[in-house]
Amino acid sequence: MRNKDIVVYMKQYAANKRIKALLQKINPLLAQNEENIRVHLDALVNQVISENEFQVINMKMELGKLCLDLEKAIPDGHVTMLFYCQKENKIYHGAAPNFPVEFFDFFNDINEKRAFGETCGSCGAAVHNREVVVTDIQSSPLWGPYREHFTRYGFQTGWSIPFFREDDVIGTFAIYHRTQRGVKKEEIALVQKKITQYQEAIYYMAEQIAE
Amino acid sequence: MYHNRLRELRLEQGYTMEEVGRMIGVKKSSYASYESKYRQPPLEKLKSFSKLYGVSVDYILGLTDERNAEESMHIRLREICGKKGLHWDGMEIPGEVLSLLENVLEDAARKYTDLSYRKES
Repeated sequence: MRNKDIVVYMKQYAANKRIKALLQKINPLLAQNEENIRVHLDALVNQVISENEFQVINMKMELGKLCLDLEKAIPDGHVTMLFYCQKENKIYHGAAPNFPVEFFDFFNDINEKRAFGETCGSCGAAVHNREVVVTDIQSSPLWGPYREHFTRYGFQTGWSIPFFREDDVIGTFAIYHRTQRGVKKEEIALVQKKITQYQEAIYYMAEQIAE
Repeated sequence: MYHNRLRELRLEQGYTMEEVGRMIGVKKSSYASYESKYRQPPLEKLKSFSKLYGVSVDYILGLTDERNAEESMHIRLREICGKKGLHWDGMEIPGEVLSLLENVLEDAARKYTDLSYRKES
């Protein structure tokens, strides 16, 4: 996210350093030359890291790849993905590789207050109406209490595309723009086509994460 | 080059030529002559464009591709941090996954210390 980039990079740099120090402690020989964290986790899984922990991290990276793929298709878009649990009417953060971690803190608030509904931003409307929802963040009534949070990050347009398992909505991809703009039919069709391609992978990952 | 940059910046912001002209204090026809490269904008107007779009005069003139000092710092910092970063099969690791990794590895380091201690004793 452009206006947060410097802070985000500094935080990531510091986190990288701390992780390297931990790897150095656990496996000093490998840590000396290997920068691919997957190789490190492969070496540690079923010893000091459980298979489940490995799978969750692996799935998070895979979900992140899907978001990056969509960002490539819609170059001025910032993509996030959330899972929706119909039974609890709660939302869970799936992936958003280009957003700071704290951006999604407001999900806890929504879940605690059991406030997720039709008027909860473009994602709320997309989940409950089971359709693609395009909004102008500044003026749409859907953004009510969350408008300030999104505009603080410079977002002016937000659209959400639900994805389904059989007949149930299990989540949405949301695409945000820093400009006030419409969304073309071709863009919606392109994103929907990509999401259909991801569908199988998403079911699998949703189940792995839930376990 | 400046004529392309002026056009690009104006369209990005969704302004008409008339609107930009009004904002920087010239007639639409004068502004149009900058975009068509028929006339060069005077220094005063370049400064106004720079303020209006939040980019440096150098960027408008095409002397750099970095829009402003903040962007240039951001690019350099990204390069420096990128060089020292861990990755996942070549992919940059997002912040939320780094936090998760840190927690998992802290636990792992503790288990590893316990295991080593037990082996020694």
